[in-house]
Order: sequence, then structure tokens, then C-alpha cells
Amino acid sequence: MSEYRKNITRCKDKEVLIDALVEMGYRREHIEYHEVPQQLFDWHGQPTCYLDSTGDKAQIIVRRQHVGGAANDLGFKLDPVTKCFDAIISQYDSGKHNQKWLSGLKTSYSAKRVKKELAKNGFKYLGQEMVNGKIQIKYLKMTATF
Amino acid sequence: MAGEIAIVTIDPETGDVELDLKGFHGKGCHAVQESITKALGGDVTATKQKPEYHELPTKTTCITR
Repeated sequence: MSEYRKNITRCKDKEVLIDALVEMGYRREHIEYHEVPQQLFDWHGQPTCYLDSTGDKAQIIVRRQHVGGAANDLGFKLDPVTKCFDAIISQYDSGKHNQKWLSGLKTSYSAKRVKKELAKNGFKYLGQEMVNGKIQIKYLKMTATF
Repeated sequence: MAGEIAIVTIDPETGDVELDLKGFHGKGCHAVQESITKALGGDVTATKQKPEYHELPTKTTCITR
């Protein structure tokens, strides 16, 4: 089935989201970004309109040929109210882009977004390790003492 | 120079974030927590060092008669 479903995310930063998609295995050059949302296409190359009668659209798109065999386009559409990019995933591709994949994307997004925010606050990345099955990342900020 | 450490723990199963600012002694501790929480859309648990309380010297009053 090509029917698209919306998955709510808390991803607001498009650059970090694109970086997270790269970490999840998509090549940067295969990820499109459009200021104006563009039409998504199913595995036949037909435009779809499951979520929107005027056509399913997204700003961040991975076209179906880069998603996998017989796949549909993968999209992320900005919600004008929450300002977050919702994942637009087809029912067919929800085997690959399942809850585990979405959690992995959230993990990658959160790690990168925190790193960006802490860098703005003057912190330097020290390194990361796995502790009790969780990713532990350490940051250091040098402060002058008088 | 002194160093302040922030530890970020992410659960790969859920993507949930915990922020440990116990190694942070600066005044901006709350601001850091707030900016991370805002950046991630509110999905952050933070632990901070308890504020240090110093006993104020007892005020002595001199009464002269």
C-alpha cells in the first residue's frame, strides 16, 4: 500500500534533521530540501493525495529510488502550528521506517541538536560512550576563575 | 581556568534525553537547561547541583546604656 501516514516528530531544525537522515544511512545528495513543499510520488511515480486532497507534499524529501525497491517517496513536512517536521511515511515503507527507525532518527537528531546548542553556549565535545545501554556524551566548558 | 562538565544521556530505544548539569557551577546552569529543553521541544529531564547555602553570620547588636 502506498497510503501515506503522518508521524509527529519534535524536529524543528531542518539542517540537523537532514544530518540525522544522513546518519540513518541516506546520502546527503539524495535528500532534497524545498522552501515550498513539493509533491510526493508513489512507487508507480504517481502523485499521491492521501493526507491532502491537493496532493501529499513535503519540504524534506528522499525520492523513492533512494529509499529502496518498490518504495514510495519519504517526506518531512513542516507543521505550521508546531513548527516541527512531521514524517510522511507510506504504509508500504513503514516496515523499514518503523517505530525503531523513528526512535533512531530521534536519537540522532537529539544528539546533534544538543551538540549544536551546547556549542552555542561555549561547550566543547569531549566524547561519548555507551553506559548501561544508553549513549552518554560529555561536554566541557572552560571558565575563567579569579 | 576551571572546567564545567555537562553530561547528556540519550536512550537509543526511545530517543529520550537526560541532561546532567551536576558538574556545572556557573550562573548559566538554568539558561543551559532552558536552551536545551527549548531546542528539543521540551522532552528533557535535567538534574542539577543543589544550590549551596551559606550560613549568614549572626548579626550582633550592641546595646550601650
